[in-house]
Amino acid sequence: MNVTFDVYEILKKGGGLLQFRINDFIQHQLNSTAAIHLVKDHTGTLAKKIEKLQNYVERTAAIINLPTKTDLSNATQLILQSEEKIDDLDEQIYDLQLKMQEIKEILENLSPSFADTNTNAFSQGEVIAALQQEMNAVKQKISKQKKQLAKLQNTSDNPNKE
Amino acid sequence: MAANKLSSFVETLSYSLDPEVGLSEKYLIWKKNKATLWYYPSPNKQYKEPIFLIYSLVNKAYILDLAPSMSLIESFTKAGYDTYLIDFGIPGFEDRNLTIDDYLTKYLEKGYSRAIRHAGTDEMTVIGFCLGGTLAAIFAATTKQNIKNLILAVSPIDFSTFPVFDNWLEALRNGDIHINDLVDKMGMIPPSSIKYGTRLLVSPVAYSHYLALLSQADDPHYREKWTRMNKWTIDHIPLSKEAFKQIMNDLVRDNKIVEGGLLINNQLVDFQNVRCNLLVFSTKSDPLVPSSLCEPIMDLVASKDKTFTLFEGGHASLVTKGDMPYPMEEWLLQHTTPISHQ
Repeated sequence: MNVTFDVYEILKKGGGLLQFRINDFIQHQLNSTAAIHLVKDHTGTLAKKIEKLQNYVERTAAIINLPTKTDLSNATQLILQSEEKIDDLDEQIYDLQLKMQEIKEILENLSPSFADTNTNAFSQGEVIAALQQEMNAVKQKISKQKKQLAKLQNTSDNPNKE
Repeated sequence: MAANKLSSFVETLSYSLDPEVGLSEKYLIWKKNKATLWYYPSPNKQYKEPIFLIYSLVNKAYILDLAPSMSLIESFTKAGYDTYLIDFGIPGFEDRNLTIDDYLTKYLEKGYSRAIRHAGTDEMTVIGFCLGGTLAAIFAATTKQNIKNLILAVSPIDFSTFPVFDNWLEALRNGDIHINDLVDKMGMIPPSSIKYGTRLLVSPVAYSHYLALLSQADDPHYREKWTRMNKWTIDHIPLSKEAFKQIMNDLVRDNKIVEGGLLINNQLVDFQNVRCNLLVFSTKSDPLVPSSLCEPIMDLVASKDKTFTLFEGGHASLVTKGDMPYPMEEWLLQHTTPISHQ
């Protein structure tokens, strides 16, 4: 019976197991109180050294007139502030556009009733004008009849005149 | 065969140092400082609620879109979901005072509102990965905007216990270790510190990925994926000192998400405000964020529809397979609204 071995597969499995054991050992060693105390004792010193170094760089840069990372950062902050304002304006414009759209829609919904009212107003005007014309015509007829009556009265009072 | 593997192994290591990533079709929707909101349109949009992705602050987001057929984003768009991604970008020294509050209110809140505006919808499915999931959970608890579904993928919530370095956690809680002074002097936590810090938690000595490549070096697809994954694994980004301090002091030391007392913009975060549908998933082989760190969110929220699922695989394996993990696909189908084609 032929048995074939995949060397790389064996290497992968064996190597994986070895890696797991090495890492387990390292993590176990680093999880010790001694390692924690080492970090605890040196964190403050390291922070002070970094601060000193940064102060030296700032002072040296000031003497030789070179911008530092902080200078560049301050300049960039101005750009970021502008960007923030533009972003806020953009949102306000968008909100305004939405509100204008809403108003437009409301007006469009209202416009048919406006048209009805206009039509009514127009027809009412026509009716009033027509009525006024009729009234004028009636007035004219009445004044004519008055004149005729006046003539008739005159003739009945002075019959000899004819 | 063995010689082929060896030559392919050497070739992969020599010539594939900087593979192209993030190749899915995308459009820039909004940009602010270093953050970018990307839009990945679906070629066949089928669901009303788009997906809004939030990625971690310490890794690059291209892990979600490694390459065609190795992309979670591609799997979303192919399934019919329009997808948005908020990429926080690479902060510089000028961003050293950015806090978690800033990330939530100035970038996440506004980015989500821009995505909502762009999509023309009222609510989305928010998915957070790793630390991005922690941010997503806080965002869901603080925002006034609507969230239809919340999915938290391998997201640390409960820091009461650590699988390794428990003595360090104890020392941090007892006040034996003070990180604030040192971090304040540094300004930014450099990518190398993030890289070695993460490695210390997971695997201080790491060579097994080379052995994995060697054993499968005759598979071109595996080589392609390996080079991209390897690029991402060592491609960390710096973190601002203020955000780092908040993570270490509020989230890790004081465990404020679970214990209570987390303040964002001076407002107490109440996770009972999370009422949307919730899916939390974790993986069985994740030494960085084991399931014990993720599951406790289930007891904190007021969501009536909530599910916790444990998958096979490691921390990043879920997002690089090119397919949505099956239970997530099924869950999304049940919790999103199909667009009726009339």
